[in-house]
Amino acid sequence: MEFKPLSRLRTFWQFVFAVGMNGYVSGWIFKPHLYSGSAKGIVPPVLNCYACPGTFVSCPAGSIQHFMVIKAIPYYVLGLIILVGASVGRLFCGWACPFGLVQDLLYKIKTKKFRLPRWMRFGKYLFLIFTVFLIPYLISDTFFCKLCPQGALEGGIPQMLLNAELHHLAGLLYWSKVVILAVVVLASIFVKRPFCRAVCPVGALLAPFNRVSILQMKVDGAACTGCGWCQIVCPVDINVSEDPNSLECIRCGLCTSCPTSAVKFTTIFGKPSTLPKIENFLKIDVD
Amino acid sequence: MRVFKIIFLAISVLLGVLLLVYGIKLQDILEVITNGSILCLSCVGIG
Repeated sequence: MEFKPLSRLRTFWQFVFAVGMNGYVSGWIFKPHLYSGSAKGIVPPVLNCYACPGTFVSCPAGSIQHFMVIKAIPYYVLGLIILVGASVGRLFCGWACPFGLVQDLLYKIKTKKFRLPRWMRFGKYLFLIFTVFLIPYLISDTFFCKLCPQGALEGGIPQMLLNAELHHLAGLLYWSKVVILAVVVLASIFVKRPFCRAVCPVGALLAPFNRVSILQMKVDGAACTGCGWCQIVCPVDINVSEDPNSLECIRCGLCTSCPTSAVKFTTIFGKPSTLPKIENFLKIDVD
Repeated sequence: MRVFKIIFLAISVLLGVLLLVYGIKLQDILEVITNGSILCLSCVGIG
């Protein structure tokens, strides 16, 4: 069975978003400085570190923590995330998140694969409550950022490479972040998107909306043969035929490559979504 | 069941719009821009 056209389309868009959000060339090439224009007011619902030398946008997890630190409610950021979640659920996790792209690419490395224990998916809600809301409020510091491997990948390592003045500041915290990143990178080779499923607080914010978002997945029970293809291709290891709108679903659409066309995009109002047009990219050949 | 989902969706959209508008009114965007323009020391791992 072939689902590569859609997979490639998704990878293409993941690259477009990753480069688009981090394409501030001046920050990468010249003496490191951060972009400070009005686009920084955009908070895309993906994990994209705002300490990255080339980023145009702000990180939702970092922004929420900042509001906690200054003892204010992040009305704007939460409003934005709720609206995106209510519209498309975790679609941005699947199609736009740069750290999701990194994990997806690492999982392509051919080696023995493992399943993430189901209980670990609750971890992201704990990370959201404690490290993004509660601890930053109590200690007046952005605690999740101190652990964030995406911060190390996009912010810490590039800033250290580009800015010699920071070298003497690299201590225990910096190297701890590098080790956390190395662990996530290693885990991503063996397990499907381990960070998204067990840790990501942005995913945890969006996840509950999967059940009620306008964009939904639908399984035709009569057409489903229970072959398990949807779970094989799913980047977050969901058994789509059992729970098409699982909180883990990142709306990547790879399950719509179902050999019997049992899985489809739809809307909560029951009308087919315009997204099934992406199925035109599919050429399913059953071996 | 779908009716409850649609009601929840409507409440979410309403809440989202209210929060967004109120946040914009409170100049949250300015705060986000200012915060995002300063190098996050925790993100880099030096503070």
